[in-house]
Amino acid sequence: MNPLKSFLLVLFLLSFHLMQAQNLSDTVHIEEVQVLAKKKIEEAGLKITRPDSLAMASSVTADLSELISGFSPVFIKSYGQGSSATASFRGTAATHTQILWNGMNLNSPMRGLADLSLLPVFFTDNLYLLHGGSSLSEGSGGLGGSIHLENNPDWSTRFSVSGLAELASFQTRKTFFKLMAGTENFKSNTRLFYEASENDFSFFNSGVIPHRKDTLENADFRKTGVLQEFYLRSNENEIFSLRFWYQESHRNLPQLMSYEGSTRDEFQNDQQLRAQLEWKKYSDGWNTRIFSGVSSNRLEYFRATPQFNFVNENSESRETSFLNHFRFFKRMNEVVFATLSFDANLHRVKTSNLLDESGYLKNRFETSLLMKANFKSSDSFAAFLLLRSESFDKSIVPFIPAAGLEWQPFARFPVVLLSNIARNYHKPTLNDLYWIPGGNPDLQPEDGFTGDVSLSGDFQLGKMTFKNEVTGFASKIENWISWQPASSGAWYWEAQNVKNVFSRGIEYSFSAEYDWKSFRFRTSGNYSFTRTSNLDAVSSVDQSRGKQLIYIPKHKGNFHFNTSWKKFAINYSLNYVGKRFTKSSNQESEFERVLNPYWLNKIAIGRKSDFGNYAVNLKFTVENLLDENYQSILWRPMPGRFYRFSVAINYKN
Amino acid sequence: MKKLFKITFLVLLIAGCSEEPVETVFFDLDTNNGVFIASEGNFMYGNAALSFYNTQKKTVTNQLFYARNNAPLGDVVQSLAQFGDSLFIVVNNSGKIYVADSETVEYKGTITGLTSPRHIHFVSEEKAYISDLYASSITIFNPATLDVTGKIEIGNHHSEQMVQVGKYVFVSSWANDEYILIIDTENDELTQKIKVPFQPKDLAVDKNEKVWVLSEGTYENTSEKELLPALTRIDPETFTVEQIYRFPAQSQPASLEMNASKDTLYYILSGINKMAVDQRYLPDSVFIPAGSRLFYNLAVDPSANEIYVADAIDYAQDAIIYRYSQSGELKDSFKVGINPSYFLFK
Repeated sequence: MNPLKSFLLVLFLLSFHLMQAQNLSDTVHIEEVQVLAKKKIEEAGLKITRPDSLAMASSVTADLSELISGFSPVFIKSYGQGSSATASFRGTAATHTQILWNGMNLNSPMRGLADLSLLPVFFTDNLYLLHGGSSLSEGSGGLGGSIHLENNPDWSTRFSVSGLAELASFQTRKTFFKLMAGTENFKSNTRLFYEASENDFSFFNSGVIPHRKDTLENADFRKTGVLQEFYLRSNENEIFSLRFWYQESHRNLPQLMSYEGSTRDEFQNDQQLRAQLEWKKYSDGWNTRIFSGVSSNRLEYFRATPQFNFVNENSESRETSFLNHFRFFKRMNEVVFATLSFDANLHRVKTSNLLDESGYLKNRFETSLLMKANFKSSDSFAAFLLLRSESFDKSIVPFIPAAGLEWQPFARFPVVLLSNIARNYHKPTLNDLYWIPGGNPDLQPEDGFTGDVSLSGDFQLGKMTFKNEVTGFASKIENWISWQPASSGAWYWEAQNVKNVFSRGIEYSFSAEYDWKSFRFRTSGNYSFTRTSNLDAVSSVDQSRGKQLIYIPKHKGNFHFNTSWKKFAINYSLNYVGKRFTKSSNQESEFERVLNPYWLNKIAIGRKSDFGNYAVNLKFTVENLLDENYQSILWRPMPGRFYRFSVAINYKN
Repeated sequence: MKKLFKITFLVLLIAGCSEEPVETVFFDLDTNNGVFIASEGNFMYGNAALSFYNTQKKTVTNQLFYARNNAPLGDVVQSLAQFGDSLFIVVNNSGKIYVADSETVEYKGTITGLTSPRHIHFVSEEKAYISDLYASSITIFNPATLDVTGKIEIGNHHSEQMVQVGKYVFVSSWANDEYILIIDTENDELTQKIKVPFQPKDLAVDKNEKVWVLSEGTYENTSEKELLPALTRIDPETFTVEQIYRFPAQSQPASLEMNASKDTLYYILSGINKMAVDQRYLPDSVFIPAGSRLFYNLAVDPSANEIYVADAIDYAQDAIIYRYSQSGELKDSFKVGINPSYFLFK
């Protein structure tokens, strides 16, 4: 059976079964439901997804890439545990996903992307994703979408402390610590984490002759970080926040499976410092938010072959961004709500090749002005219209519009139609423009149109809640920037505007909850179908025209089932990633390298115990339960079945 | 619910089943009438490939190595060399050289432990040199046993292409360098070096036993000061530069080749250019214009004097090889792997 069909079959059967069980036992009462009325007016018309609390809880020791891969329709391209991972929304590139931490953009101004493997879920209280043009409400450049990490104080808790330790296969150990303390109007949150792994799993190496069982070498890593937050509320409606995040990591980089050369010493070190001062004021009918922050990244890359006494690469880059934001929201009347925001950011990037002392030093000043109007004529209809104007370097992009609506056509039927359309653009990164060698100062920004239509329904059937959302999307991106071998035949790659890309597809997500006696069943899942293709062909012999872009799966899905009974819980997860092409022509045969689809099964068993103010959680997880042999990136091995065990202790007063 | 679990389990079981192994394909290539073509693939993709084009039958066989040996070549095949009945495949970013039977492509052995091997030059039955982009030495090995037998220290230089005139091997030191290194094959030592225009890469020897060097110059946006690409003719008797032909600014010539009678040079610059070795100026027109094609590499069949040129298309799909007659008439075209890097004629 086709794996995709199997996956859909499971989803369908489960949904059907739950529905059927319910229909037999309960009488369905249809009442007037106001789905839209519950929503914040600023979010009306936006395609937004939030991993639920179960997803956040079950991924607390993971990094953001694992959470998003497991619980959203977004595809994550990962080089393996601890290694770099980037997000691709709706068939777009990693640079087309914007990552914002409390409103501050964390994408590297130099490389354009953010490494999700360096963002621990533990450092996040609230996470949401804006898909497609909806991301324009928070910033530009998210041609695919944006990921938002937020930290919020818990005013209801005076003091709490929690610690979590996890041991896993391949000598992986993780430690997390969180301390919350304060008074009624002052809170201090301190979070620390440390994680390290030898990451020396064994795998079957079919990339050498003879094939053999190998152990991954030089893939060990360690990461550590601290997040300190202070919150002060002067009265009920005014909050000052000060946040400080420091993190560093050392990652050794393994070679491809086919490598049989002299031992390479290759590693990447990252250091990040982020600080933010924020003021928020809420009043009747209006609210204001201002923040200033700094985000600083240092990245070192080193590669040498000690036996040959040769250092191939030794480079360092430093990026410092000063980010400033002002946002004002006002209810003009019962129907119209207005938002005005202004951003002014200064980025400074210095790259240095320490071997030949080449590199570049560049500043980029950018501004962004947003005017947005939300309309809510009734509890069944809302819409928005926004306009962004931006400037960067010496360019001005005066007109980036977006519009959306949300409509519940039938008051008694909880189905909502949501649609939005937007123009969006993505400026070339500083590396695209200035990297030596291969940067191209003549690059044009990537420019696109995107739109989507969603239908969502929240059904309450007796003890069961059942949520569904299906979205169709389409976007066209012109002047897609790609790095490719130098046309001169030189040893380096160079940046070019080479493609016009058309991306379209479907995203589906569901969740259901059902209580039976002392059991609680919860299930959820996501599926995305993405066709993303290059509309331009370089010449008449070019077979890439209309073909799926490399490394973007057409099919991607995940499914979760959770049962809890008293203090026990069992989680089962299934993740599916479809076939990915590695040739632009999508050619495949027995000997051509196509990355085959894979299914990853995971099961976790947990027990929670309460001792007064203390709570203890024990959890045992089996990852890759069926020992699937798969590759996420060509000739990069991935681990087979492995295990995790964690202990969490919480104290709350 | 029970039924549902059963179905779920069944579906997972089916999904978890592994695929059938690929069957081995056997070859018996007519190497007297054909050309091996190595395709380097994409850097860090490990998708290099080996093809054979039979010039008599006009048939091409792709993915030879994988089909015969059920294993990939590795990451970036840089060059090929034949010695006796052995085909040497230099896999640059896998740090190794695969050796296979040239007629059956059956795997015979591997030279491992290299760092960034580029080309092989056979000095004798027992001695061959391996150039390396990221090593301060040239590796010496025995082609009969595949054992590494020594190395030639070359200081702060690299080694790229190698040609031999008399007892001396001329080696280009390419990336960010400007020297031709001269190795004495009798004592395997660097004896002398000749300064040439910046980034000398390709080498060829003409009918007069002169050594030609194609220097790439500085690349766009890499340096404050532009150094022009150039063709240089070296007298291997006196180790001196006889003539330098500078290319215009912003031009990027590549892939220097000599025809069978060694009286004509070919290189890629907006198409295929040809130049008689006794001509005193660079050609002012292109012999075979590239047009919208992306010419990536060039070779001349020494027996038929036919010109083979690879169109990389978009660098990410199978390339097209165009075969031209000596007079520039298109005779044939066929597809090989991604980014053809080397042609090996017997």
